[in-house]
Amino acid sequence: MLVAATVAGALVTGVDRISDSVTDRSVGTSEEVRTDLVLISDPGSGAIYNDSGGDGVVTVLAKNTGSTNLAATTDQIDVLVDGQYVPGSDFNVTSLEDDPQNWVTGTVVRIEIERTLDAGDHRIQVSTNGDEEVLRFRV
Amino acid sequence: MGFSVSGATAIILIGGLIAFSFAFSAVNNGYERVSEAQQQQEDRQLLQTNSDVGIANATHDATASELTVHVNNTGSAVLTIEELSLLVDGTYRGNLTTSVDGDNETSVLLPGEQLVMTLEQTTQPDRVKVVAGTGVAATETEVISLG
Repeated sequence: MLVAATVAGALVTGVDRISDSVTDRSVGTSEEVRTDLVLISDPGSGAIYNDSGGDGVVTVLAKNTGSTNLAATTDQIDVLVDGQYVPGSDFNVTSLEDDPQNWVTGTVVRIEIERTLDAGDHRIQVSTNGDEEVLRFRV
Repeated sequence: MGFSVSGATAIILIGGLIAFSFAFSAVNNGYERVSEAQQQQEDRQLLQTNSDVGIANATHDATASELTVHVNNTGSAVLTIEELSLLVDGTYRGNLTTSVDGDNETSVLLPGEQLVMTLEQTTQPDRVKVVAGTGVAATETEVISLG
């Protein structure tokens, strides 16, 4: 009886842990499915890259077209410039709505990346919550 | 002996049932959560496919420092006006005044309707871009000068 109770207890505890993992995973997966963003910057306008005094700044506008609200913070967004990872200290994200940290569905954030670029074609990749978008432009 | 065997079996069976109920509820809730998200994604994709916007014209009045953009809903989906974004020369612009057939209060742009966006703009812009909430966009590279 004691052995049986121990086995039953271990079984319940083990399955409970697996159930918690399944719940966490499903929450993560559903958030990924709900996440969608579009880079809406106008590549033909020349407003994406600004070089003043040798310090270049790349400005990208991203719109939340998904069905979940996202965080407009550098730790939630990954940026690649020409395939090179940009650390969070080299870019900032600002929501263009009332709350600068909250990226609500349908709203736009401005991502300003400190990168000096040469003349030519470039590409920016922005990803958050498993969704990634690429913007190509010319300097 | 007989009691302890049947008792042990009962304990393990009850343990198995409890474990099964934990696992079942977790898997079932997880499946429902993910399938609901997928359903919403399909709805979004359908809305995106049915969405289309076009810029009828954009005019800049230098005297009044005002830019007016006429946006047509050329798709078959209803668009939310608050989710429409306007870029002037590549720069995001907020604080827009919007109206549909003289109605400033409405928040929806129905298929076939025209939205008038008005904003303060001192210099003559070269291009404007309108992006709907679904990500569908239209660009106009000819801004008519009235001033």
